[in-house]
Amino acid sequence: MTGTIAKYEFLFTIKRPGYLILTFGLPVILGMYAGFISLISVATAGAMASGLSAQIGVVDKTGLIETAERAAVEQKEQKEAAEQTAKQSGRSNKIPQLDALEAMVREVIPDAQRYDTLKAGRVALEAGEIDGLVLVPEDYLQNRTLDYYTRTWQMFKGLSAPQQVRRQLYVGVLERAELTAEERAMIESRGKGEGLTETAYYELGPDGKFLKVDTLSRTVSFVLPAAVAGILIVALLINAGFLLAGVAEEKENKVFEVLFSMVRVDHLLMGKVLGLSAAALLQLVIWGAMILPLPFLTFLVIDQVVDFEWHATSLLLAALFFILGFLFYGSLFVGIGALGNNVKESQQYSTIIALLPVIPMVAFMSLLNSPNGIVARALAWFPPTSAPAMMLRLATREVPLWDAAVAALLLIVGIWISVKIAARMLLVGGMMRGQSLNPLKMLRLLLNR
Amino acid sequence: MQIAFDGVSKSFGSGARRVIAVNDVSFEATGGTVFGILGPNGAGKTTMIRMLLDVFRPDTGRISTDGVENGNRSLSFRQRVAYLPEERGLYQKRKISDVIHYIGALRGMDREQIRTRMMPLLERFDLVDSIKKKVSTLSKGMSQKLQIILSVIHNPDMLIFDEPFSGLDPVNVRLVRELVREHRDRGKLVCLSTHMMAEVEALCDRVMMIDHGRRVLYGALDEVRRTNTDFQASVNKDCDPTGLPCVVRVVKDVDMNHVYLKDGATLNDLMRELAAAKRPVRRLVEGMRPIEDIFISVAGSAADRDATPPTKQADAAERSL
Repeated sequence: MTGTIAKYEFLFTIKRPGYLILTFGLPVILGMYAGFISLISVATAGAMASGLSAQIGVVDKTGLIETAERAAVEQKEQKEAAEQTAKQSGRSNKIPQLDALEAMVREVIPDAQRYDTLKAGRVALEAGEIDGLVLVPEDYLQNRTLDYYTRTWQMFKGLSAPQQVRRQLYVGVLERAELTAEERAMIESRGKGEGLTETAYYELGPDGKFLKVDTLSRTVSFVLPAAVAGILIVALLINAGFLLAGVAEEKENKVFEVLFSMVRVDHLLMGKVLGLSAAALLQLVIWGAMILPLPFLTFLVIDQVVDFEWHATSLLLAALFFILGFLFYGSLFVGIGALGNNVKESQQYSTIIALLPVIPMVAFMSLLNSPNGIVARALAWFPPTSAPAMMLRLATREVPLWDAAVAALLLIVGIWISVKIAARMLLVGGMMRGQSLNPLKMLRLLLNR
Repeated sequence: MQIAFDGVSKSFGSGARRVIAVNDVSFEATGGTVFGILGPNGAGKTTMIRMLLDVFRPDTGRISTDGVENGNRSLSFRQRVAYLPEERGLYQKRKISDVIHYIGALRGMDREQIRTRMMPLLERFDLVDSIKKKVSTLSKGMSQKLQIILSVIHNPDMLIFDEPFSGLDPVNVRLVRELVREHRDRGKLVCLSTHMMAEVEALCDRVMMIDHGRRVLYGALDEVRRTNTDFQASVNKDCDPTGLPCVVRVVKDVDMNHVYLKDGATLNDLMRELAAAKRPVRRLVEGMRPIEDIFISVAGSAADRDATPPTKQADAAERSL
């Protein structure tokens, strides 16, 4: 019986105009959106990453950082003197020039550990005393290139760590180098060292030696699975929304009483969820067929530059969590769909559930940077947030298999509980007419025999 | 098919909010009969039907089908039953043929069986031309007809019709009446819940009336009418048997005079005395109150009971039998 319901739900769903528009229209819109975001990301990657910092060490072979710090101290003293004068003359403390000075001082106040030699810095890095080590080589003024060493290169931390050093160097160059007015103007126009310095990244290899990191390949390898995870989460939410609307519509059309006389409530519920799951999977296949050729062609063109590998296990696990997630959220959406008196009311009730898969997306930086950390694991093992959290974690390809298995097992238990609760909601809601619910009333109805 | 309720009770809520919807109800109904389920609004009829369909489970008591306890919980039972609820609904945005195929499939039919059964029913209810239309385009009467088609598409062994005549014009009322009789004559059990007492008298073989969740009337229709009638005969309005030797008293009703006979007097005695007295008798029937009167008197006494303390209601219900 569940199979019959699933088959008809699937067929009804894929004929819906909303489903067709979404399936064939969304890839186009997403493609345009992704292109736009990529452009912005490339232009502002440094600024974006500035909020993320790591404990770093610095080896400065040029003395520029020292110059910058000296300048900072001088500027601080100047500022204090100017403030004192302003106070004595009774003028406002808020002097625009002073605010600019203060900002400059804040930027160059050092918080990095200093090392005299590269060797000393590396020892500290390998010992875990610092997260990264920046080397300002002797030829920096000629080549404008820093070396950044980490134990394991992480995209956002990797970008952000040398940021402060770059600014210190910028101030140092301005203070120390004998520049013509034109050169100074040119440097200043490039803005706080953003375009002044290049960075070469190194990470500790398996043999204990530092190896140069191909950042473009690594970024693509990281961003692409994360994008796939994002698309899966969007598909999950949208199709769960279809389920909710379908059930609310059935209630509005008063068909539940007849349906309940024909099939058991839990069979009806599972049939609906499975039918919509199949429609959602079909949607993903269509999206894949529409979207994949674009990056595939891109890879062909830039194959020499980008070394990207699909990780089959992660992809399969992501698909598994997509299905489990759909069963979890879908069953709850079916139950909630029956509680409202119309589609609008049911959508209002569903807000609480709809927010659950958003939580891991809000915490996505933490999940991606520390995929096996406490936050990531807690979100992945807690059934209401498990599916999207796991899809994001899997994008990093650093999740142990046992960890994914525990998450899947807990989610299956969560599905069993959610199906029981949702079946009760479907029965109570399906038979209820014209009553608006508050949480207490809803609980009382659900607990009644 | 045969169904039986044995001491079935069902309540909702708890503590002060507890409402007893069905209270210790027992009855039996078998194939080849039309079984009327009567009662005022809120009496517990729909709850009883829902328990029979296993939408709700009883708190106490047993429900059996074909002698099998809890047989109503099986899939095969669901596929042998037709249900037309009072509050009807249809998938408004779907095509009629799609809806019929969906409901047919849920009733366990394959596509070929659905096609074979669908066309004669659509022809009978004059809906063949609408088969490709969306349900939302149908008039109220046509929607009602479609719902009736959906309920019998699988050739059920038992029909449960809750107010099947509401909203139908006289032509379609006749169609439904024929459908009910046809199924009864083919040995099916038809459970009919309705407030239209004329239809009860025209169709039902047996009836049960429930009130405040309790069974207050039960049995063959004629028997129920007879046992709830205290006069022995009725004659046409312009024939007044007052003063005849076998007559105790005459009560004048709207279109008939109801006659109370002396102990031991029979209808034959009355006929003979009417003829001898040359009274204009054109119609003489055994004294049986219309079921509508019985319904009103029972429902009326229920209204009176509403003013009495709840603990005394059960006793009052017993007395009204």
